[in-house]
Amino acid sequence: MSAEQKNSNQELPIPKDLLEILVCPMGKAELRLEGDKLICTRCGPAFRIIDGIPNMLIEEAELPPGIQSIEELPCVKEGDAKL
Amino acid sequence: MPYSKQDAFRQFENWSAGYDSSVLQKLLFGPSHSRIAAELPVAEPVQLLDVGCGTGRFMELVLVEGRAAKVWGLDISKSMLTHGKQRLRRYNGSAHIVQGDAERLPFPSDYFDVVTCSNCFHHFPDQQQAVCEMFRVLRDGGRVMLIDGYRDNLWGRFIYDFCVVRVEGPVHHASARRFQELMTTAGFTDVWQEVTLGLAPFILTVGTARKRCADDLDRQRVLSTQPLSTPEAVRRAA
Repeated sequence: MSAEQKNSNQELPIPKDLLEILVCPMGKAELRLEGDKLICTRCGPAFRIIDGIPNMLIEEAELPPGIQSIEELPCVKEGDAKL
Repeated sequence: MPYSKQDAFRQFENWSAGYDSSVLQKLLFGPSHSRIAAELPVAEPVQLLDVGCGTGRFMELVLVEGRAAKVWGLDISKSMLTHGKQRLRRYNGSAHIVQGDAERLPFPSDYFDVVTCSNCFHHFPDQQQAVCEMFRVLRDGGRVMLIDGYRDNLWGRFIYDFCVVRVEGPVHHASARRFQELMTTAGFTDVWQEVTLGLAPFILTVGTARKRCADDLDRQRVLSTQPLSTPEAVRRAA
């Protein structure tokens, strides 16, 4: 999380301490907040925050451009995440 | 067909509306929650993750009793969590909920003091992976507390392997022995179990994440020509 995001707690869609500990459920990489989405900083899947509840199900995440399936995520291909 | 995460997701979405008023709350869920809560010392408020938190009843219990400083809940069902959000609103800042998969926990390693899981373990398709994830997110010395239906006697098999399977599909209630195997394979030590009999019998399995032992073992593997591989060996190495 950037310093700018830390300084704007009032606008965060989820509590700051929750935001700070969540990681990508696949490769366990850090996430960055973009609007109402949490983006994996390694492979790029976007996890939506709906009604203040982050949806960390990889099956329901938006995959980054050029990635058609979970199997194609770099963390999976490099053996750092189990399917 | 084997039981899948999609089956679990669909079932809990359907059950969420009547979940809190179900007779199972009195028969099984409530007693299970009380049993786990009793294992948490009041004097040491902990960071607790409840896997399969449902509508947050156990999370509320431990906060009311002062047995956790902060409680994090994870569940696959958005509908269950929506009910949980309403329940936990008054504990703003002490309770957080996340929709997620027990086999792919979206939390960092070595973070929680306690991980609990009550009466949903039989819904996990890959139970070993779920226990390994619980081990990963626990800090060194942290404890896992699992409760699920006890099916190692005639009544238990009838309830869980016949009645529950007819309602829920091919879910899998692990035997006491299988729970021990899952725990030791994941790396847990000091594993102990306790059975509570009754109309809906349940078994509590508790294990400790001794991560320094695991580190020692890794070092010893490098140094030794005869690698240690069993949990007993891990304890001896420690």
